[in-house]
Amino acid sequence: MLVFRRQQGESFLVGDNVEVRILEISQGQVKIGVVAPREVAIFRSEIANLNRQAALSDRQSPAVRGAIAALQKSLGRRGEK
Amino acid sequence: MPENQPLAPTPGIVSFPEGLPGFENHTQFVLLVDDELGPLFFLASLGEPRITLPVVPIQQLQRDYSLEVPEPDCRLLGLNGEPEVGRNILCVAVVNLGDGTRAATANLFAPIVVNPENWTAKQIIQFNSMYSTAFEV
Repeated sequence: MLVFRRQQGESFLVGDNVEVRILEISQGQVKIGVVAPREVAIFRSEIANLNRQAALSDRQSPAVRGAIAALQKSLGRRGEK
Repeated sequence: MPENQPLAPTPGIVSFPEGLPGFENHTQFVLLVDDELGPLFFLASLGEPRITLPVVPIQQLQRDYSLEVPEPDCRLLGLNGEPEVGRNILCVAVVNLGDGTRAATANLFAPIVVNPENWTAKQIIQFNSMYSTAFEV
């Protein structure tokens, strides 16, 4: 775990796009503001959905084997271009 | 590593320190390489083999694919120097095989980037790009 100190009014970045601001410290409570582009969260959940949709539960199933064969054919054609 | 020859996936265990979106609890995947599969590979969760993602090297789909790896991700992956697809990094796209009625599509917007030196990987969203999440293969 990364541990560091911040004063009231200071902020830090998480990754490239998310900024966390320490807005107020009083009576044992910390008020925090998070500045993140809305797209970041939306993109991430879309990618998560796409990964779940792409995941195979049985790569030996006839349907999957058929789809793989079709994909190989199409990739082969692409390679010839 | 032979010169002038693009990096090819080899079997091994790929670790995703931050997990994979949609499968955040799965950090270890086995890269399955099979001659019969041709350019297609599988990333199967080590803990749950029923979670298997088909992937294709991105250059098979887009020869001049331009990848952006933000500095924090370079550190996460332990990359030294400028990342270059096929030279010091392996970049694959997750493929949705479709359901028979629709063609297979590949997610070019969020490729999986692997450092073949330490087998550390991350799916890196190309926020600044126009690449499709459903590129028809």
